Amino acid sequence: MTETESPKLPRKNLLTWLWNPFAIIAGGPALTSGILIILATGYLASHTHTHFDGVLDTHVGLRAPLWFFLAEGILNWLCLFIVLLIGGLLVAKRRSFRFIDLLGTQALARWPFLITTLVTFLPGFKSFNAKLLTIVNQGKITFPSAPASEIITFVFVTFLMIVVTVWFVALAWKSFRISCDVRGWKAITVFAIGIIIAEVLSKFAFLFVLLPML
Amino acid sequence: MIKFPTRCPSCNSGLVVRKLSCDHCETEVGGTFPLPRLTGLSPDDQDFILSFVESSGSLKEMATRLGVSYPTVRNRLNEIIDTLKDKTP
Repeated sequence: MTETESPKLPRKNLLTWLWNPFAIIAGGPALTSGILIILATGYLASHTHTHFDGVLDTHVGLRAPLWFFLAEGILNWLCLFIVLLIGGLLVAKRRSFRFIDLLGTQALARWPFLITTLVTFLPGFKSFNAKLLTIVNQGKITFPSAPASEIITFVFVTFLMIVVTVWFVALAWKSFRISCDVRGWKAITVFAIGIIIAEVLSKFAFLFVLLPML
Repeated sequence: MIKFPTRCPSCNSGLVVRKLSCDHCETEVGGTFPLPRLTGLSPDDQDFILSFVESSGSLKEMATRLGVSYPTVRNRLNEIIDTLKDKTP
């Protein structure tokens, strides 16, 4: 027999918390903190009218009651969880993984969207976005005239939204990999297809279940 | 710590034990004894197995003790199980 090297257990540092938190937290604690973060994100989003109208979507504009914003977060979380659960059962070597790990870590993986919600409070973003929406609602395709500070803030927030979405996808992948103990190209492919299916599923649920309830 | 050899440095075949001796009375026992399967694991993995046994096989307790998540510990155990399976003749 040869001696084999296996990876050491993760260290508890800032990088692990940001990039691979599920090596440290999963199950019940991840579920509790994840749900709280989803609800906090929904609550804050209701003040700036920021919608997470799809697993990967962020849009600002439509006014809606608080429950609508809370429901969006929960819907996105559950859509991706269900799809990845099926994916995990299909590709995992051992199907004995705990569902609560995937459920909890998927909830916590949505925490970067809290940052998105917080930056939409920036005054420059709010006013530029309002001007942009007015122009779009008038059916025009022109660039709104605004101070440079507003444009810079808008560009910064938009860029941050993209970064946050990429970060979320990375966390969702880590959640799937650790919770279901999957690896390799087969798992990456299932995850990539899964996230697209979940996006479509959440869009349908948003359009045909949530929106009619408004 | 001196690394416990399990493979022949010359031809890379698995090593066996030819001689055992008693440190107390210096009695020596000869024969061909295969190495226990666990010696094929890295020292880290052996420590992990020891820790697992000390936790009465509770992954939850181990996760708490090591300060990591339950699936992290379980996945590490799965890796060790796979390694041992791969090494089964």
